[in-house]
Amino acid sequence: MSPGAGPAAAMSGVRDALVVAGFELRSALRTRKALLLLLLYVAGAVAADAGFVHILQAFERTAADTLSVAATDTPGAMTGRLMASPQVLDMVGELVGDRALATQLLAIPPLALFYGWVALSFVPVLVALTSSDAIAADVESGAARYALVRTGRGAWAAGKLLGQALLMVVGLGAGAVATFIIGLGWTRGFDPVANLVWLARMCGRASLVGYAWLGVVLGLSQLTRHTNRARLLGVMSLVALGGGRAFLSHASVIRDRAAAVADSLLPLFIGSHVIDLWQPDWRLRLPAMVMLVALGTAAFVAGHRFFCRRDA
Amino acid sequence: MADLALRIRGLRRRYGATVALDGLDLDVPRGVICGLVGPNGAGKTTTMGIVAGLIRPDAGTVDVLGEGPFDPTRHAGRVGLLPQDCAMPASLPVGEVLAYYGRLQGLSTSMARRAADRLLDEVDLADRAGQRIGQLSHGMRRRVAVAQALIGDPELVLLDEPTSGLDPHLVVRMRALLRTRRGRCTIVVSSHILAELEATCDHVIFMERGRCTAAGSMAELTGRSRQVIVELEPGLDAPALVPSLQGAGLRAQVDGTRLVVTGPTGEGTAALNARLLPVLLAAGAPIVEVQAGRSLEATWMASRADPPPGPKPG
Repeated sequence: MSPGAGPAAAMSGVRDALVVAGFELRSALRTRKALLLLLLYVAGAVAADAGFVHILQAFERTAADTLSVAATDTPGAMTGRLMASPQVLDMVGELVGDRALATQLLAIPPLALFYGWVALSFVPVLVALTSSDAIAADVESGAARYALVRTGRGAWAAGKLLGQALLMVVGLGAGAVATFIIGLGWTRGFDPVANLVWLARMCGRASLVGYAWLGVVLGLSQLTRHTNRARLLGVMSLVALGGGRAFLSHASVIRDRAAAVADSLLPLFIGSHVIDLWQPDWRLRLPAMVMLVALGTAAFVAGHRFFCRRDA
Repeated sequence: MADLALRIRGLRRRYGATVALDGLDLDVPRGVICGLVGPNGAGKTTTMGIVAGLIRPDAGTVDVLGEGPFDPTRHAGRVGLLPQDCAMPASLPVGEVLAYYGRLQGLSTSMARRAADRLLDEVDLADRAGQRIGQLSHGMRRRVAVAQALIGDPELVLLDEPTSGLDPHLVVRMRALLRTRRGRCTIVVSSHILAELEATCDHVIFMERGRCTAAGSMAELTGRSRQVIVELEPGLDAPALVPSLQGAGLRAQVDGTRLVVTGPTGEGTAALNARLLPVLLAAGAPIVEVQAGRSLEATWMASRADPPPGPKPG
């Protein structure tokens, strides 16, 4: 530990990290790449929501035809009642194997539920595309040198992580706003308050998953000084961690011979904790949330230890 | 030990088989503008990178501002760096980027803004504060880069090729800008333009193959403080003047049409001239030019005539 280390140094590090994070966010929001990807967040949400609304409408028309009743022009009116029926609760309970979880899922407004599913599914891809080169690009261009002569590598890298996390939250929030607008304009029986609350919750949960992936891709970004290599590593991490988890979960070769070992390794994969974010009881959700934060932070710190030992 | 801004001992660094620094020793006194002179590959950029904590040395010690090797916490806000060939964030306005570096230098938001505005004014870019760095010309970016190195008034400023790519009139402005900092901070500046360094610096370090080959004040190294070179018209019997000069207590050497005259140690150039010129005028010597010491370029070339042995590869 350096002689300057101590509470004052730690405070200075936190201050610097916040300064870097603010600059990173402002800087990222003014690049074409970030704007394009933010647009992708929104466009993805809009396209998926529009598709969802369309399917909902088709479903209700079919149901109306079957029941020989008048169909509604605005989707959602029939679905709302359907979702509240005990039969649907039984069906979903059977599907997820947990009646409490089914109750929770059916209490979520359909559009918010759908947004949550989309956000949780695609946030890793968006994070890998937007953030994997955040550190390597600055090291490659030399821009990092202007900052690293003024602050510690830890504060700088943590600021980059925080800045990218804020960028991700902005993207998720923009997608949620787009979803809200679609719901308000194109579905009947849309409860603005309930939807707003649930969209915010979904944003929070997706942000946790996104943070875990950010930790991984920014950890990898500290291993190289080449932008393209960092991007490649980011995308490869998605494939490797996704494939690795699928292999440990489903491959008969491992399930038949070393299921216990595989099960003990599965918590190390981000994807293993996503399903628990849907749990109605916060005491069941909390371990998953803690694990996501821990996994992201651990991956980031592992990459940072390497970054600290090499030239910037 | 003298009050040093920078003290380096036995610094070594290699990149694969290439030896960048081979046991570099150097001292930079506080408050000087120090020129780092050397050919490409001499190790100037690596030295600056190590001093600023960006490059890890293989061996050796660096003492920055008398407080050990660079530590971002211990030296927070006290070191400024203009790295070579490094891009600044292109998507944000100049003023905002400078203010950001000011904030990291330890300034408050308002102080950083004010410092950024003042420095942009000093580098003639006040009217570009709202323009994105990506939209500036190369010369303008270079000036912004110099401004960022000076923001927050650091005690030690490292400038790697600050005038590279600048128009001649901007080089003069840059020189004036650095001179305003003389005595307020220590500036180490590397450049290939020796005339530029000669006009700006008061201390010089020559580097060759990762080592320091000569170092000292500009006056000492070029002989300005004790030597006068007199250019005479061709055809004059210059050696005939030597006995008269020796009679006046001066040492004189003839180099073609030039007389290299050295006075007693400790005597300034003015006193030397007071002894020398009457002798020459009395002898009716046709004087073309009188110059205090050699130029930095001539000093550098002379030092290169006997370069140190190269590092052993491998």
